[in-house]
Amino acid sequence: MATELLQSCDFALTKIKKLYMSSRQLSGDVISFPVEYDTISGSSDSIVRVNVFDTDAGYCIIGGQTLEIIEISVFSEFMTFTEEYQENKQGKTYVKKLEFQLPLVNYTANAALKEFLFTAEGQFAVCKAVAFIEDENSKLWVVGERIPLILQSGMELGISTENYYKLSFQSIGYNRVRNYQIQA
Amino acid sequence: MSLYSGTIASNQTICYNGNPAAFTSVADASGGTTGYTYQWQYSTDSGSTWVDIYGANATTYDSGTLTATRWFRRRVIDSGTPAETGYTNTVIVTVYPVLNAGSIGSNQTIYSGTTPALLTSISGASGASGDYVYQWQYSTNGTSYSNIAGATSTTYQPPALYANTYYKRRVYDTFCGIGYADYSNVVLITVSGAPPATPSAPSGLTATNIDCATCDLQWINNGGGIVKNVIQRWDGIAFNDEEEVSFSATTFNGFELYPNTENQIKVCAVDSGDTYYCSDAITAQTTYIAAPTGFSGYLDDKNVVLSWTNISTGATELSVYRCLSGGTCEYIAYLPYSATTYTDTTTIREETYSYSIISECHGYGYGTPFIDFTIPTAPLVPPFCDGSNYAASGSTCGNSDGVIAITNIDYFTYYDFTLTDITGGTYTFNTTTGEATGLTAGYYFLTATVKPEYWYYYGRETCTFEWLEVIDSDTTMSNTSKSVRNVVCGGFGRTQGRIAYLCTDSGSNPIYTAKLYNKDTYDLVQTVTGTTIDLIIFSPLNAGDYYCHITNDAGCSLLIGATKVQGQSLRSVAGIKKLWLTQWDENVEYDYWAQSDDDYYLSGIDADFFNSIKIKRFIDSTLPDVWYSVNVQTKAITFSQTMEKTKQGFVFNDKLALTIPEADNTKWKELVDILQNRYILIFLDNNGYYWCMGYRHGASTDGYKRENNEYILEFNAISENKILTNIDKQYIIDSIL
Repeated sequence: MATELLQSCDFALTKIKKLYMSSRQLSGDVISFPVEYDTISGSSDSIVRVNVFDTDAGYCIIGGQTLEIIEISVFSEFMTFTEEYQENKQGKTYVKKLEFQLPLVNYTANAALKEFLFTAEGQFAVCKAVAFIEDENSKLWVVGERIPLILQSGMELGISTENYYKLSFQSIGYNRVRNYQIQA
Repeated sequence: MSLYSGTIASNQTICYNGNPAAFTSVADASGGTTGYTYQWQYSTDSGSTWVDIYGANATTYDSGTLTATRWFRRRVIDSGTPAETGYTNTVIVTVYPVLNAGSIGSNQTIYSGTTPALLTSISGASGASGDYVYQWQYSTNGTSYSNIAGATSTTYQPPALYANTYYKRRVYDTFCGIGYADYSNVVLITVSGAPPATPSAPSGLTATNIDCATCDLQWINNGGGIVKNVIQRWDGIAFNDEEEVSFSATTFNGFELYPNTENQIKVCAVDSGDTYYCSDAITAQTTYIAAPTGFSGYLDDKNVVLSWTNISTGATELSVYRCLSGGTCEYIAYLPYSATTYTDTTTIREETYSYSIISECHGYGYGTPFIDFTIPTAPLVPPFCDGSNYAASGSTCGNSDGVIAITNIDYFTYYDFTLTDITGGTYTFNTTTGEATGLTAGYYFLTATVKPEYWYYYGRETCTFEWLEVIDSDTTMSNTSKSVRNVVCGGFGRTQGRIAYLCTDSGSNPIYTAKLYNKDTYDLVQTVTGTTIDLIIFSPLNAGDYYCHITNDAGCSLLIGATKVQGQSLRSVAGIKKLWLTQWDENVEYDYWAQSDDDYYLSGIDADFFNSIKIKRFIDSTLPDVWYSVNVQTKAITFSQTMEKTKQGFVFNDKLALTIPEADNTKWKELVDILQNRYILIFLDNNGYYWCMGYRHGASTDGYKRENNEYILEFNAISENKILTNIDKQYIIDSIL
């Protein structure tokens, strides 16, 4: 029996204002999981420390890794994040789901999507990704830093009554989603 | 018997440093106890104190040379116990003072054959006994001297001499003898040649090259012992010395004359006694010099045009003299003597100037009366912001010699201008030339602002001309082409913009720095440094206009103007509007897009794109059948691609479904034929993109009838790891349509 979290919370994490995703290091290497990180000194709730977050240059530095970040620019209505608590044979887990839908299928978008999903060698590897989320309350969340987000079966591209890409990522882990803070 | 000391002899007088005769024993010691010991002693203070003379123990003693008077005695000691001591009488040796010859005077210079002045005794001899004998001596070489017969007084009158001669005076004392002679100082009589002749006045004085204020003079120098020549000029009352030249001179160029005057000139020889021996006077008439006449002028807009008539017969030049209304005056031009006009283009509007033309000659000036001009205000000019009323001229590599100029300086009357570079540095315009100088190659921003007093005419207009280029005219770099990858305004593509500049450098410089600026914000977006200029890439970029400035290590610049990274709107129209299909065969060949022309991707840089994103063409000869066109309605056709996790891994499944209304047997028979094959499908969506499916393994087909009396025709294909593939529009046009 799954229990959905956050439904009664004051903050609305399901509403995403900004979403940045990383599927590789800036060098082109795959991300080394779990991503090691420091916590903000003095914080009592283990806020993840991100040393640099340069959206113009397209990278962030967390722990010892420099990650290439791509802004997924979508209306909030087409982007959701949920975290569910589950008890099953694996024990107690939190299932984090990130879904979003992008408009306009064209080959420039295809190329960008492929660049994100494929390895630097051009192999379709269904990348392991980390997401950085800013919710509508301007709180910052990092997802998949321990157990990476995995592209789920059902990624979809449609040209019919709609013209869209639909992507779904999922991460199952033993911890809840954490906040992060940018601190050099 | 008591001890008797004996006696010694005798007193003497000697010259300075003389040797007295040995002292004798008149009587030796006697009496007392025999066995006597003698010791000679001397005193320098009349016998008050005595000093034993070492080794002088005989009855007699011979002293050495003496330079001062001394007293001597002999002491004796007998052999008794106790011994007795006694002293002889004292003898004195008197020593005369040293002889000094005195001094004579003095050196002279004479003409050959003339008699020198008497050689005088400045001081006589002194010392010794005081009875002196003088003897004058001469020498022609200063080394070996000879006595002059009869010259034995304290002074001497030499005879007439013809060669340099040295003289000195010898003195000796009659007591001491010639062996103790002393000599005075030496005087030299220098013989300087024959005596001068009697001076004569110069002759043959002439004046040549006479102009408005100078002439050249020549004369014959008649010599005669003169020490200089003096040129005199008549001032209306007397001849006055004007120039002084050497005694041997026979010419003088550039002698200054009174202008417009008959100048009277003489040249005089002057001897050592300052006596003048003057030539006859000559007359030199200067050429005529006067102020120009007919001086007038007029205004040509802001320029002052002057003209005049020259009436002088000789002048060196003309000058234009200008005074400001405030009293400041200056020479603004120097013109050749033949000039009759001048245009002053350096005036400032609304200023008043006074002008005079001056005929000049060697510092003399004759000017016209002043005439005044007030420069009118500028005529109103078209609004600056309405046109390109500026010009940028190039710099050279590594130098600050570029210029941006306002093409009409009247604009400075109505506008204030500011000029800045991309870093915010400011530059000032010269309002006379209209130029801002000292610019290096780069981008500049020119802002014009109407002055408040002219708002009534131009309005409060302010405009900025952006990204003006000052280019190195001798740069070795050039831009051959550029490739721009646009961004998609959303999804994954918003920061995927990229600019690639392809450049060359004939100078083969090893280090380049390329800076990219945003057109709107002026911000420096990115800096790229590298060792090759062939391909310079800026990425990632947002949509916008960009300006690039490349410099090499030779100091040259290359400016590449606005390059636009477009943002592709996410606005789209759903659905498919055209469909083509043909039979697939395993031998079908195709090429992915492999050229960067007409596209945003770079061969060698975007390998993924060239491997799968877009097909350039099919090799038509490998297709088993022709292309068929299927009329579709947007609502009746759908396409989707989904990713599936399979045992083989992740694959993309493509599915195109076509709804065929009004099912009947004829259509079913056609469907049955279609269902027997695998197909390649190309469809055009409502956004203008051409897509292709089934080209790798062929799309299988499936058909069935739904309850609402319509057939559904489905095409399914596995595209493995290929996201939906685009196909070149030109291929569609050339091979399908």
